[in-house]
Amino acid sequence: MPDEMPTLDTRVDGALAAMRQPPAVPRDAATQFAARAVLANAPLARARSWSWRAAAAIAIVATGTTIFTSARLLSRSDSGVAATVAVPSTDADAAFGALAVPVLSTAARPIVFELDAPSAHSVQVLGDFNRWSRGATSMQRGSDGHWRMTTMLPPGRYVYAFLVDGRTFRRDPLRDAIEDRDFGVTGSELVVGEAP
Amino acid sequence: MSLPHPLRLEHTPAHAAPSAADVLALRARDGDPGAFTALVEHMHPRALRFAGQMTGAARDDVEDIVQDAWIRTYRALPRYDAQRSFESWFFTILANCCRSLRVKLRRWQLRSSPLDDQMRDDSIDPLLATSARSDVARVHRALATLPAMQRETFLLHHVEGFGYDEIAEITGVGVSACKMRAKRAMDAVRELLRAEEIDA
Repeated sequence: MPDEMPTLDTRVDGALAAMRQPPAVPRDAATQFAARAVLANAPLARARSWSWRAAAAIAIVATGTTIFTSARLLSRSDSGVAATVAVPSTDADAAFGALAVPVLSTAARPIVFELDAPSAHSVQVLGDFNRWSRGATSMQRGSDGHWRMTTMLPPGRYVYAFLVDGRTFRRDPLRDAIEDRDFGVTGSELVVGEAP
Repeated sequence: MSLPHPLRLEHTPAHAAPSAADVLALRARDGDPGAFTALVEHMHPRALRFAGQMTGAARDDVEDIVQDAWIRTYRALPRYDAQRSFESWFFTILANCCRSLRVKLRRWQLRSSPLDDQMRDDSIDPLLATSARSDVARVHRALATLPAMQRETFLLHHVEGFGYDEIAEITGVGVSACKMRAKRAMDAVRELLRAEEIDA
């Protein structure tokens, strides 16, 4: 018996569903688009340092730089695109930490790390995702004394720690301490893609 | 008598609960250097999808359009209004960039084949069933015959998922006009699918 012919509505719905599939984007391509957008808007007076800044901007993303601090993740699906976002916690008792939410896709998702360290002069996030490289990920201090930074991380397990003022490592007190076997550093564990 | 505009908390978009893009855009606007990169990574596939289907241009040209849109977005970011959805704000910029390309091509490339004939099917997922791929190609062909504003409205609504009020913001026309454009576009799509079904 021949297959039943799909109705016109079914065909339209099927075509639209296919058209909603996002195109494949090479790894790090979006990062380079972002870096070029920043550079294109750089003041002319800084033109001589463009090449250095471009390399740095691209390198930062390529190494998967991240940020850490007290964070609460918000999951939301918009227009069929699974999204996971970290937003700063307003809970006074959540001074540090990073929480993850269930994963809806395998795509990298923006994660915000936040550290309450008002007396610090600089804070970096080091972890296995950036090979514990100093200088790769600097956090920015907000007027509320919280240091923040956002990065994209694909689902997976990560070990990280904060480096305060370039000399003091602090692990995340809201997360289990764990040793990174590859780099021999004790830090905190973050699992992106699982409930905390 | 109009009532005073209600007070809203800063960083509280009026349109709905803040999306991932809203949060990242506010952080980027407020100086978080990583947030802009994360924002681009989050929105980039959608931007490529819309620009590609809107213009039918080759991948390199589509990437140029999207790059231009990100440059303009970064430049305008300090003026981003937290009361507005970032997605609709960004797509306003992106749609303008798509229109600019069409004007440019009309001016400089009239000697080549019309843009509407260049609707490419190579972005279609090869794993799709053959019948679905054929229907996508037919929808693209139908859209290529439409006025740009109808195609734009159709894609924003049926592919990108914007509501008509958001499309009105993006395109600068009234909600009723947006609904009419989307309906006419859908009628054209259905007509072409029906006609080719009969021909087959």
